[in-house]
Amino acid sequence: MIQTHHLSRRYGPKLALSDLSLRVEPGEILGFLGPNGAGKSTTVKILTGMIRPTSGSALVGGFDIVQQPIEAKRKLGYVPESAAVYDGLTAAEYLDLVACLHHLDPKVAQARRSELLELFDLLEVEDQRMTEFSKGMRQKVLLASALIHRPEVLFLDEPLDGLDANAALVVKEVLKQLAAQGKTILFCSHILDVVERICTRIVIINNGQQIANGTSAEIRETTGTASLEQAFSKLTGVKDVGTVASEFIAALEKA
Amino acid sequence: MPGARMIPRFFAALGIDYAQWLALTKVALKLDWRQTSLGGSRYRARRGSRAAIISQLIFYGIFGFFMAFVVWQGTDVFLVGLVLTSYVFFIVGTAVLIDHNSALTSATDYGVLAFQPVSSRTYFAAKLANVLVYTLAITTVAAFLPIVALFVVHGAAIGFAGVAAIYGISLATALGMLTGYAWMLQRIGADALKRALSYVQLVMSFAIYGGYFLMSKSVVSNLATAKVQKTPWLLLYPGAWFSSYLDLAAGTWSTFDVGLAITSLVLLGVLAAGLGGRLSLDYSARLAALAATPVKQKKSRAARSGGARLEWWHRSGEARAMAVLVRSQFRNDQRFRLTVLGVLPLTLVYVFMGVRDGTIVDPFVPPPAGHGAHFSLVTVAVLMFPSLLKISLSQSESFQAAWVFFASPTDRKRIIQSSKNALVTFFLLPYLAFVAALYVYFVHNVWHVLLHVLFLGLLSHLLLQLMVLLDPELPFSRPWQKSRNSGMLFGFMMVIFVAAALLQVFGPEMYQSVATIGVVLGVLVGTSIIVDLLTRARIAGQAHSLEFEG
Repeated sequence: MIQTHHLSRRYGPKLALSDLSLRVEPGEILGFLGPNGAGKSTTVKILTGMIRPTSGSALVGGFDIVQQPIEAKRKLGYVPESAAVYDGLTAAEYLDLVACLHHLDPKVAQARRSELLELFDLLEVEDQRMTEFSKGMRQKVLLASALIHRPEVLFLDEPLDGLDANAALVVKEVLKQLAAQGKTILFCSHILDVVERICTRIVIINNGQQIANGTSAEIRETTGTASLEQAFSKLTGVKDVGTVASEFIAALEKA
Repeated sequence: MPGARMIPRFFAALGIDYAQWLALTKVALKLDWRQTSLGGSRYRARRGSRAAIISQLIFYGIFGFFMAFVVWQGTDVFLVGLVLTSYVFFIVGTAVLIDHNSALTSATDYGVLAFQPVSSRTYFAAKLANVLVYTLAITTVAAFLPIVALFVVHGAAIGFAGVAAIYGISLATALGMLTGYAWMLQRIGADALKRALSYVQLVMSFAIYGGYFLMSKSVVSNLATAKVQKTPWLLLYPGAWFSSYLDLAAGTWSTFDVGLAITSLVLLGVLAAGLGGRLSLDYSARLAALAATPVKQKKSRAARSGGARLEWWHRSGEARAMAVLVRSQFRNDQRFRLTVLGVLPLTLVYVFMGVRDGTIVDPFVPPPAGHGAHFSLVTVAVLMFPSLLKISLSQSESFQAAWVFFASPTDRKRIIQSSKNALVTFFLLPYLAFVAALYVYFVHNVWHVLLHVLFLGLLSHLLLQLMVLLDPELPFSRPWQKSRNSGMLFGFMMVIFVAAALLQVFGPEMYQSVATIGVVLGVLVGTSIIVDLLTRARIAGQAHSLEFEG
């Protein structure tokens, strides 16, 4: 379970996140949407204990992420948008490190590592350093590392980024099955049709504030639009995309 | 085994998770090893630079050989200890300043570990272990021959005391500097942290290099009498505290020696306790703040007019791009800036020593009969400054951004030459102006000074060109490699010292007539042109094999 209570974060004078209160229940996949710089990554960083909120509180897996960070972090798995890994390690070594940090029994860790690497088609390259990996392969390692300790709560920031179509299908199916097992999943993505297809509920934030919360159908109905894409554009105040594109082309030609 | 269980319990008592600490330490060492040539990283594989580590071993070996010679000749064991501890103090201090300055503030660690269930104490302990493995390994390689000499010449008791003194000063230097960095991380707000770290780096560089040179001067003057005058000033120098172990082992101790030895033990205790206190630091939050906070920069008048000046001074697009890149990397790339700030004080300390020794004299006037030529550390400083900067110019934590050089229609020769020219513009020319002003103050003959500074500038530029010829890398295009910079720095310093010594011997001859001055300047300019052509040819030859390393 994820629960935030009046969560805010300030970077100097800029308010990146303002008074966010949300609750994600076990078994739910929450689509967390917003334009660039809306405060999505700030929210996820707070919920994963990477930064502290300026005010408010958050519970992850039943633990306060500020007061009990280690306990909360034991319950969560995270795929960061930055795709940061120690790329001098092999995929197997990296998964072993993460397993070690979560105090998994070595035999259990090895079995799960093999399962996950096989699932993501990486078993053949498990002893290859990740400096040699493509973006998609690194993303698969990150997904495997987020799952190896069987976390209760998953934070996925653009998890399909770089994945080929087959791997993306596998990941989407894995997420559905994990949710069916009662895991709590927060899913950040800019690919709206994927969000629409796999998320049970959607929250949209803009300028650090929550501006929509409901199922895709509810949001479409509230905004009076035909698709989630149109609803998103309307809610986040984007001008007509045709006009924006024309202005852009005109600026290029002028330069 | 009960012993195996004792270790995790000991760590747990310190609030450190042993299993996590072990895993993090192993991974850190593995990653460092793989970044070196012997580890076979693909980044360095094409350069065949197994030589990088081997050359470091050779340089440390040569230094160690000289130190072993001093040990062999020394009769006063306290003086011998002082020489050895000063030497280790300098080597370890430089390694931490140049190679480990960002050990506690790794952005990569933040991205990978901040969301894992690792406490700040465990993380800090792993980083500490990583740095100590390096510094103790360097100490072992650098001090191996002197230690052997100590055992052979002075016997086992003094030998063991020497080992304790050498590892004691090594540990104290590394712990002291890390405490400084940690203290700063804990006390200073995120907005001022980057700037504050720069000041700490400067202060520590001055302390290491200044302390070393003042002490080496004192040691050299004492070597003549083969006996150290134990004045209260020695109380200010940590190397002397540890050297007292040798007097204690030799049985020639006084109350003063006992006081020094106790002070050394107190120092280690205070540093261990100090770092223990720092272990409670919340690194996750601090690193996040450091990563998220931009350096506030006031837009000065100079910066506003900088664009126009850049266009005038740097004509080609590549030259302007390099000028902007080098300047902005110095402002924003924490590691590059700390490395430059770790080198800068060395050159200023040399100038200070030159002033103190009275070696800033009219180079046109030969030394009085019966006196040898003055060896000027100012000359050494001018010759080494830009080349030392070049060593760190090709590495960056954001090396993956170098794709832009490969994917844009730029001239690789111009990029590399322009990065060299940026060093000349931003560092060498201002430094030459400073040295010229200093000479004018002491020498008064402006024309002599201008000619001498012109000569030094050309020579320094030539050395920089040779560095580029030897290592024609695109700027900021390679990942950081631990120990590479300090190793190259020591090696390069040896070459510069030899060049400066030759210059002092032949300098007065050169300035005897207009003809000789003309010939020497002509040869310098001619050589510079030839090296430039060779560099262009080498870069052109490499262009086919060079690939983006990100």
